[in-house]
Amino acid sequence: MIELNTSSRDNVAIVGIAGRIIYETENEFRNTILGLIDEDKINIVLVLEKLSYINSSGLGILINLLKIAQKKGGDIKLTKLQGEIRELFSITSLDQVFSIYDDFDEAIESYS
Amino acid sequence: MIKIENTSYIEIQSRQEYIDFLITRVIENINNTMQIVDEFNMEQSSGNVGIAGVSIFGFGINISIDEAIRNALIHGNARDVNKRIFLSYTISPTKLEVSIEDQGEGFDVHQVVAELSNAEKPKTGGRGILLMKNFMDKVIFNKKGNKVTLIKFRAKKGDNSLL
Repeated sequence: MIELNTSSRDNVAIVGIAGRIIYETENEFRNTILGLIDEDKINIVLVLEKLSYINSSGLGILINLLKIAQKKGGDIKLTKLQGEIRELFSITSLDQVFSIYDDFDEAIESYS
Repeated sequence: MIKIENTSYIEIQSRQEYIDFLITRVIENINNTMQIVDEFNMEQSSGNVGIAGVSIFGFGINISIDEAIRNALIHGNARDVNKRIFLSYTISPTKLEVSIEDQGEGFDVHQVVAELSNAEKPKTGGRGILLMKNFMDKVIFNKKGNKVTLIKFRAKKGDNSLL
């Protein structure tokens, strides 16, 4: 139901998310990101190209993760948001809370 | 001309594991029922197929129903398994209407909506209502605040205006 692919480039942790962030999958999502932060991989880029669904509960988790990363001096940046997901971030004004990039490379390079 | 509507009624315990199963099934069922309603009405209307066949029930409907049921579970019934959530939905050729009612004390709808329009960063609780209001055509709360009715009108084929 959810696929999380973790990789890294230039000291940036990259997580590709495919599928739905819902009740059954939100713990897996949360634990994956928390695991990175615990390992001091605090410069994170989430690639949301294949994220098909997230509800307010998932958005709440994402905001908490952002706060945890920022507290350690890192950040969670988002890239490749598709139509409805992008609309979701705009409606909830979360596009002002997260740094969002259309271009993947730009998201990575923003950390250097 | 007679047009058929389909109304379904579901009553469920306030358990998270039921709720997520319910949301998935309800969305599936709405889409299936919509096809049946459309096919029937298409057969009945001689040559006038304009009204049917427009799918509108995607992401926005899914998330609106999700958020409404979640609010009923978490805020309304406070996850009390002895309390129930009542869900009904009607699909007609012109619209989808979904009602979700909980057995909680309700809430001050006006206050929450006012806070939403002021706050730059709405709290997690208010975000659900914000999403419903954006994705549905009408979001109506009863006075007590323990029942919400979501309405989405269906567009006519070749006509972008709402019915």
